[in-house]
Amino acid sequence: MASEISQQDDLDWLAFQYAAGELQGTERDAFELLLATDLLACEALAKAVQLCQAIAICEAELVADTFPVGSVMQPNLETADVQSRATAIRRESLAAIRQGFAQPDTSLSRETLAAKSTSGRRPVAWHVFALVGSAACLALMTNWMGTGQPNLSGRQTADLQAGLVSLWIDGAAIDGAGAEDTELTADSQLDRQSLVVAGNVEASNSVVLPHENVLADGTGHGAVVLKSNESVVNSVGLDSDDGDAVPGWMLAAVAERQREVGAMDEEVIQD
Amino acid sequence: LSAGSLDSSRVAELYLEYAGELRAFLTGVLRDGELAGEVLQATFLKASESGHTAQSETMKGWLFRVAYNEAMLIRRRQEVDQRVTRQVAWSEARTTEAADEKFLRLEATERVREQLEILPPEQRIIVRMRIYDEKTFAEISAEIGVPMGTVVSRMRTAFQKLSQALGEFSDT
Repeated sequence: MASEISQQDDLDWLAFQYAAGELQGTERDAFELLLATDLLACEALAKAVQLCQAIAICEAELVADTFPVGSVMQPNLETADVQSRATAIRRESLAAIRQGFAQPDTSLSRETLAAKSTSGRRPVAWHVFALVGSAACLALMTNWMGTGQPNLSGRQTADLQAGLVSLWIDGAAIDGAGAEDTELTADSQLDRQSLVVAGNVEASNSVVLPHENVLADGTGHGAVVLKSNESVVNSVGLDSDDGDAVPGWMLAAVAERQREVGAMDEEVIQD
Repeated sequence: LSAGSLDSSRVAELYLEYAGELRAFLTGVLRDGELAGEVLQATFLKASESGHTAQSETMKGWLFRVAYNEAMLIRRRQEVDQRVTRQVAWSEARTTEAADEKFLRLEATERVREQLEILPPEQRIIVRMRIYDEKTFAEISAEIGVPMGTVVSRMRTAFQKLSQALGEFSDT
């Protein structure tokens, strides 16, 4: 009995080695001869193949769970033939979530982004968390804009708009260090501007990264919220900034900033 | 149907019973899921034409023998054994699987998943690297710094456990 089990194990193992391409030359020929005459060998090969396929499916699902869509660490599942239904649904969901965070094109390669971040392997749950958090921040900001937005005169608004447009276009004027980074594009400089406007200058180096990367280091949360809000606004078709128009929330933010700067100047003068 | 050929209901029965196993077998021989599907069809076509020559108790063996011969014929013709671009594990999806074949595969996958989860980590990583990452034992040995004999031994132990889980499922 024990020897039968051992023989069956040996046959199973041989079949696996054949299926995995580990058998070469005479070993392979011998096994193929066995396949021609021995039903047990055929069954062992079928079982080995089914096992390999099942393992591959399990591992593919595990990878889809471990690596977020867009991660440079994620294997190219597009080319993989075997996808279980669950994995496909999960990937579609992730893609949908990612579309909600649609970003302007940037010339930064994925490799560069990965090099800038140590957080390439974010679990799926963080995407969902970030999306929900962004929506909450949007609601808060919308509420704030409705009740607490400064009452600016027409001239003040015009000045602010002119200032913002120049800021928007010329990122280097605010942050000279950022302009030295040859990898940054105009779009990513805009991101830096968004940060500066929000008063979070020290985090400007991290804001050029995608959301999943920025979230991990904990320094760019303000930026993430800001950009996520833009994305959410765009994705739900609310009042979005399409090109040259300066969004209202930015006017308010800069007005607040100017008030702060003015107050600081007065303190300096008084000192 | 010609005189002596198997009737279609009998062929359908045979298909339901053996198609999944035959497809896996053919995938192992041909290393190509599409070709395996084609040979599977050819095999059952032959079964409908001349399956009556086989006794019912040896029908399974007859099918496997026909399938093997058809596969070797195609392999020689197309020299698919020289094409190693597709691996066994990834060669299935484009084939036209019957619904119950898919269901059985999903069930089998679930059993294997359960067994995978309780494998010791040192075995699990080797299973993953060998089957999913498609690395050779030599590459795995070099990468994780373990002698090749140990790698093969761990893989074999894990394979036995996983195979047993799949076997228990097949028996039920």
